[in-house]
Parts: sequence; structure tokens; C-alpha cells
Amino acid sequence: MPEFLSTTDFDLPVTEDFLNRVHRGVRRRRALRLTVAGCAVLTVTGGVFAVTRPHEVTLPVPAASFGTASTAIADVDRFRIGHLPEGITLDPRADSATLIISPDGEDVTDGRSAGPLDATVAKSMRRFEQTNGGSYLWITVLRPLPATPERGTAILLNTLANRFLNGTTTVATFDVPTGKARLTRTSGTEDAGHGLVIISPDLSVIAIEANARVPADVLKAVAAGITPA
Amino acid sequence: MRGAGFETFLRQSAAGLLRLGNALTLDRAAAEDLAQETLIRVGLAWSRVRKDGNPVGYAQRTMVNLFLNERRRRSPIPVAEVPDRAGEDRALTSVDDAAHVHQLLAGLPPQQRAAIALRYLADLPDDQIGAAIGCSAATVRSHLSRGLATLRTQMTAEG
Repeated sequence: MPEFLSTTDFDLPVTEDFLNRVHRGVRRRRALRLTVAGCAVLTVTGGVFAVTRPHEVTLPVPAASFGTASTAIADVDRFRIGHLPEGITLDPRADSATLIISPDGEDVTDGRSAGPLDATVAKSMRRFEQTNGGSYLWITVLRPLPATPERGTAILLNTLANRFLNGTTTVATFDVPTGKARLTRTSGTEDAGHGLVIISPDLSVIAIEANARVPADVLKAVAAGITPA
Repeated sequence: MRGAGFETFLRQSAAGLLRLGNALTLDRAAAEDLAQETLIRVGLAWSRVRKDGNPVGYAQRTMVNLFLNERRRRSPIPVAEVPDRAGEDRALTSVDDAAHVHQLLAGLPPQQRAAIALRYLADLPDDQIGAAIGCSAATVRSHLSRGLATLRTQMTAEG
């Protein structure tokens, strides 16, 4: 160990309170999983009834671009994620926040309320993981809220998109059901991974970020499976 | 029986995971939160993890993933200014040194910090570190080399 690291003691005490919190967390998550599984069964059962009724309209199944794909539904903001590779599961925790962005494109982080020139943006993110618990990809939606000033909307849209495009190179552009998509590759790193940014006609920005081992074709297939909810 | 197995694992591994979490987050409360979340996930997947035969490795990978994910979703937080050194007070010297090392580590990119923590606190080889942070063994060596070089440079520059 380098000497300067050996001078630092990183040990923390293991308290009974800590151990109890872990046990309590495991019990609660198990109960939550059972509840979610029960709701999923009810949803699927309801879906079967809906399909059998003659006047109901069903959502089109997104075209899968590779054979091992399976359908897994989740929502993020106002969009439905209709396609994920086999074995990839949704982290049940949804992450959301409201961002305040000043006219110069910076986040307002000093706790003040949004001013008349500030934009407010809803941020929603879902994480998907592999069977070993490792992260696979993240889908983030940034959606300007109605209070956002009309003037400067295009600038705001660029600001939001550039949060995911900066430091990347666009390697392909194509249309997806939710808008115009850009497939990107991280610049200047040894194990450059791919990402994907969609600019939606409703001025939302949808970003698909993934761990460096996720192939570009998988990202394209996931993007093709995202539809308005 | 399954619960007893996890209980044993929990009591045996909690100290090591808290230590690793502390080296990653450099904050006691954040380290406890990270270790708690890690152990909850291990507990939920215990039957599968136990079959896998390396629950400690699974927990370390989970912890590093959680840490890196959290860093990805957070906006950058400015690093605090360097505190005044105690200098004459011998009793406080070690505390200041620790705080100083924390601050130097805080300035490293998350993947470099994770690689250094896994190497020097968890004693993992390159391939296992790579599996934990999602890169190749060669990239791990690069992270380690660059991270240590940065730390040494900063320490040398500050005398």
C-alpha cells in the first residue's frame, strides 16, 4: 500500500443499529417486491381482458432488432419503455427531481426559487440492471415544465441535450418513435462506450446511457421500443 | 437456514464493506448508507449469491456499482478548500494527514478512486477490479497508475 494511503484509517464501527437497519431493509424490500409482483399479475390479467374486447386499441409491439429480446414494460416520465434485452431488470426505485436552470444554462443549486427568466425542468430516471446487480443502462428524461419562458426554448433544448452530448461524438442519427435520435460514442477514453440521445417533438430530451460493454445495437433497439405513454 | 447464512455473512463482511464504502465516499454517513444499501441487495439476492460462491466479491461489485451510479447521476460538488494545517500540535497531525489524504482522494475521478480502494483496501487483482467497475484489466492498471501519479504529484507539489 502506498505510504500516504496507509496513514489514513478508513475503518468504521459496525453497530447493532447498522445491522438492524440492513435486516429491516431486506424485509421491507421483500415485501415491496411481493406487492409489485401482485400488481404486475393484475395488470397482465387486465391486459388480457382488454385485448379480447373488440373495440380496444392495443399499443404496437416495438420491433426488436435482435433475436434474444424480450418485452419488459416500465414508464419514465411520459414515455413507455417497451423493449429490454433478456435478463435485464428494472431497478424498482424511480429517481426524479425538478431542476431550475438559469438563463446561462447553469443549474440553480443555492436553494432559491425559480425566477422569471429561469427554466424549470422535470428530470426522471430509471435504472436497469443485470442479474448480478451490476448496472446495465439508465434512461433519463428531461422535460421543460410549462412555466419555462417561451423565449429561449430552443436554447434550453440545446442545453439539455448537450448535458448528454458533451464529450461525445455522434456516430449515427436516425428516427425513432419518440423523435430524432443520435447514437454517440464517448470521446477520448480507452473503453469508449455508446450512448443515445433523443430529442422529442414535445421538447423533452431522452438519454440512454449504458455501461461501456453494452453494444450500440442494443441501445438502438431500446430506443426504438420507447413510445409515448 | 438461509437467514442464518446471511446473518453470518453480514456480521463477517460489514466491517470490510464499511471500510471500502468509506474509502469510496470519504464520508462516514454516506459510507454507512452505501454499505447498508449494498448489504440489503446482497440479502435480497442471497440464495443466488450463495450459490455463486463469492458473496464478498458480489458485495464489492454491487457497492462499486452503486457508488459509480450515484456519482453519474449527481451534479459535480465543489471540493472543499484545504483546511489549515495544525503544524505545531503533534496530536492533531495524524488527523490532519487523514483529512488531507481524504481531500486528495476526493479530487480523483470516481473510477480511479474506486480502483485504488479496491486494490489497496480490498486487495483485489486487476481482473476482479475490472469486473467491479466495468472495464478491462488493462484499463484498471491505467486507472491505478494515473490515480497514484496524481496523488503523488499533488502531495509533492504541496510539499
